[in-house]
Amino acid sequence: MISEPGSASPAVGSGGLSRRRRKAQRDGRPLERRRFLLFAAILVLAALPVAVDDFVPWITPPAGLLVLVALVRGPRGRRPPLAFLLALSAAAFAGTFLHYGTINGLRAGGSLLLCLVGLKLLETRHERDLNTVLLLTVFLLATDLFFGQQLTAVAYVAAVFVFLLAAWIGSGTTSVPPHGEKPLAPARSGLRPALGLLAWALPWALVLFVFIPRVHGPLWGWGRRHAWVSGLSPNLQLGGIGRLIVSRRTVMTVRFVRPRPPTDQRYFRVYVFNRFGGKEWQPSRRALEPAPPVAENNDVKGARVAYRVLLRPDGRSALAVLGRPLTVPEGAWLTRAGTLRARRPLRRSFHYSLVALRGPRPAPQLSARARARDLELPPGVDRRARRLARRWRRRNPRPSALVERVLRYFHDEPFYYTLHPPPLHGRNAVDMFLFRTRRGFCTDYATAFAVLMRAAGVPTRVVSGYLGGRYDPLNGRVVFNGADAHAWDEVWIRGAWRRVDPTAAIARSRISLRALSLLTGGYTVGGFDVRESRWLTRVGDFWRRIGAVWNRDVLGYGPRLQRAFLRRLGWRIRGWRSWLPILIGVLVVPPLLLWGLVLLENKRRRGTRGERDWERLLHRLGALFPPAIAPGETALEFAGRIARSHPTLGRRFLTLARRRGRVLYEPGSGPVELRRYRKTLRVLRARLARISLSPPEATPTRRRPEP
Amino acid sequence: MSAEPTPASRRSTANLVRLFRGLLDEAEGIFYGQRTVVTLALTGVLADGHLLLEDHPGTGKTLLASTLAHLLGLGFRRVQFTSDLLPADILGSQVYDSTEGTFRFVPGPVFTPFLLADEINRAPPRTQSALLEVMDERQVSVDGVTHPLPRPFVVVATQNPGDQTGTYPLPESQLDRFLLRLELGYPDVEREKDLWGGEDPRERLLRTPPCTDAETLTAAQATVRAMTVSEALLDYVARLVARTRSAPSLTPGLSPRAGRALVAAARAHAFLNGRGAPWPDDVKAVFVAVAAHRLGRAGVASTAAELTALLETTTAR
Repeated sequence: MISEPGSASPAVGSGGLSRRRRKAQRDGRPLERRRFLLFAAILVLAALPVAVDDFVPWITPPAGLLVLVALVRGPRGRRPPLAFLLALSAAAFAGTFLHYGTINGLRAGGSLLLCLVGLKLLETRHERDLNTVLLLTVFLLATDLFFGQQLTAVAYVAAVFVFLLAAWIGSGTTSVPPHGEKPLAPARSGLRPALGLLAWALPWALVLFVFIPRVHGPLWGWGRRHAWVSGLSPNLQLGGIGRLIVSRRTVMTVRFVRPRPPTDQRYFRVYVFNRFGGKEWQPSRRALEPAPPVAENNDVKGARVAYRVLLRPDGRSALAVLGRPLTVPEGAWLTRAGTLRARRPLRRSFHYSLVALRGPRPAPQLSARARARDLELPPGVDRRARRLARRWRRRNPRPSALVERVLRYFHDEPFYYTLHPPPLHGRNAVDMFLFRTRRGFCTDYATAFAVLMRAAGVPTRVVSGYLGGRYDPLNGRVVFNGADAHAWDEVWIRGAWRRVDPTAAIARSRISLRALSLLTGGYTVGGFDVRESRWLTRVGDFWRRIGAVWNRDVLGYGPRLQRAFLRRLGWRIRGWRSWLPILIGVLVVPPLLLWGLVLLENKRRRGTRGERDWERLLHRLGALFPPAIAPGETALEFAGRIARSHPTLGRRFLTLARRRGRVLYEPGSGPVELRRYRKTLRVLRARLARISLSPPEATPTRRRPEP
Repeated sequence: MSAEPTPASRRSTANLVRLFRGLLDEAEGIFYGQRTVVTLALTGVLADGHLLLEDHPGTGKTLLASTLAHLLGLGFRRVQFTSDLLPADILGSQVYDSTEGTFRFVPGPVFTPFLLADEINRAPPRTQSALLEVMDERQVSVDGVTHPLPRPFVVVATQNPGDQTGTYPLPESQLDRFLLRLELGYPDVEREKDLWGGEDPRERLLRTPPCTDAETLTAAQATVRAMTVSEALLDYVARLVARTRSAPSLTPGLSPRAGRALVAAARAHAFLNGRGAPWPDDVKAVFVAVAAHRLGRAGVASTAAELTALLETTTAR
């Protein structure tokens, strides 16, 4: 009999009873605590990446608290009142809207989902609720991938998914273990079938991934910077790169055609700034105008460097470039300031090869306008610095001597390099840095230097980009991570923009370049700080290499790579028509094959004649009418035994056992007999499913047997 | 039974089954209600085999045999085996006919459809062998002339268990000739009381008309022989046989011939249960009766117990 928890009241009107029974039937059995905790744990695991990545101080912790309360309460007790749940939902929507200004989009949706997780767990009571929990888990797992597509993130999602699948399958099959064995934990018993399912699904998924036409960029990636490597910002603030420098994620890898420039020569320019607002640098519009590459200017003397860059996407279009490019790679253009831009914001890893000239950038004449712009300082601020600059200028009329003087100033005075400088506030931020705090990092030194030079009348601009990198001997690439972000200056001297790195100047006295990279802790592997350990370095290199392959070949697998790959297979894509055979091949043929396999399998199964269902029935009967069927007991004997204690059910089972015997042992029995057997089996199983094993004593049939 | 019975060859299987089940009911009424034993005995007959009844005196061995013979409508002869019984006494011999001046074969008691060999273990081995040979070959060769036995031909041998003086226990190789070995046991108390106070079963037997005839029995035996056996059942039999071979106390286990006998008996049992082919239930029903005397080196009783345990642990599905 189906039992409703806490339904002790004996006299309920028949209408009420049937309504109650209907509701109970709809809701399914009450959920066991262990099952609840298992699936709740998987749900929490699935929600974790979203919660961590999309942390909003006044949404995420309350949602976590809800989850905690739900876990402690378990699936028992009264459901929270509807009004309470509604109020919480409204609060979740309101909070999300207040924070994001929308309830739409990835991040707002993520926050809402987290709240939903807490609310759903709070009201989970029955088996039926589990469906929603499972659905939510799967949805969250898919959402996780929007927040991070790195190898670790994908591995995590895959692991949780396997766990979910195993628990799902396992809990569906082991409700009654055979022959009184102890039930296995559902997740453990379901692991093999879950992995089996994945083994079936993965090849096809791979085929679909490779052959379905790729779109440019992820489907739902617009306005999302989070998942990408945070790169340099298109403007530069005092104290602005600090956060980036602390980040140790790989930003790009570069393979140089020999010779490889030494570490302190690898200045990859990304942005050039020449408008200063007192605290912030901006590029001028003119600097961003397109310009032809060097080769067209007949000025191709000087040392060259050739390299290939793999840049991780940061949602912006700025590319890193070393030297003055002689060519412009496909999908990119060159600015007047000599920086490289992609035609579209990067949403996937981007490859480009360059040949460039090294050395100063000739700019024989600066127009009056350009000169004015490169000397411009916000009026009325940083007066002390300007005074100092003018004094130096008088003593060192040659710009190069002036540069020397400023660098010597940084070198001799007690300037310190630190990633955690005291804040620079007020209008005279540069004054404050130069004369009071004297602590800062590259941005601060580059800014201060530029302000001093400009005040002294030497056109100067600030460049941000990456410096140094670490050579990975295993794959011959130089790896740049966030810690290699850097800012320096370019000074216009003798008809050319020459690079000056004030940070390096000061740093040389106290902190070497090498120490600079050590300062940031080298790099990390799985969250552990890795310092001077050789094999750990190797592990790091290996890991980075896998990551690079993942980025290049999996995440970076876009329309371009796909076409190239198809071409290698001998298939040229010309218009949508050439896709048709491929689409048919991957979308129609595999399902047909699968269908054929299923048919074959069914045919094979027909040989064993639904043994599984039969075995389950036997187990269930054994649980209902112990002892379970013994190995040597035939179905007829078992049926006879049940019929003795429970005539109605026993007779039905006897009929089933006879039909089964005929199908199994009488070679002449036809398909009619098989159909009959299957039908009886189905009917009886359905009947048994309605009988519950209520704790003290099983009450298997509606009519108790006469004593 | 109808007044004018249809020719046996044209009876449907279902009819035959009904007929023999009716016979069982009758036999059960006469033989103290011991349905299991009667069923097994009839199973042996239907499988065209011979029976060995083994139990203490007075348990109804002879009654069972005569009941079966009578109800089957078969001619019935009984030979009391004694220590001075000679082969010729049961097979028959060449006798000089003085009127015609030639030797004439005088058939022995073995020329009967249903032979009860009472206390077979009292006869000397030579005589036993003669009978057992005949049981197997179903023909008698005397002085180079072969005389076929009538069909059907059923031998029911009885023997008293225990160490009794003056007996010649049958060797295993000869026990093999009996398809089934049955122990009769005692009926339950109520039935026994009926037996003591009621009508003599022999008189009741005489009043009861036969249910079938030799021709019908032959047809039924042919039906049983023609029964197809499923792979699943053969698997089960194979498992059982393998178990007897691997059990140390049962070595060397059931022979291929014994396995064949097991399937044959299961067929007949299935026939009696109205099934189209033997099921494991049928195999289980006949297993001990088929196997115990063939493996009973260590004493039939303990072997039977062991075989029952083996049945319980061998997967029957």
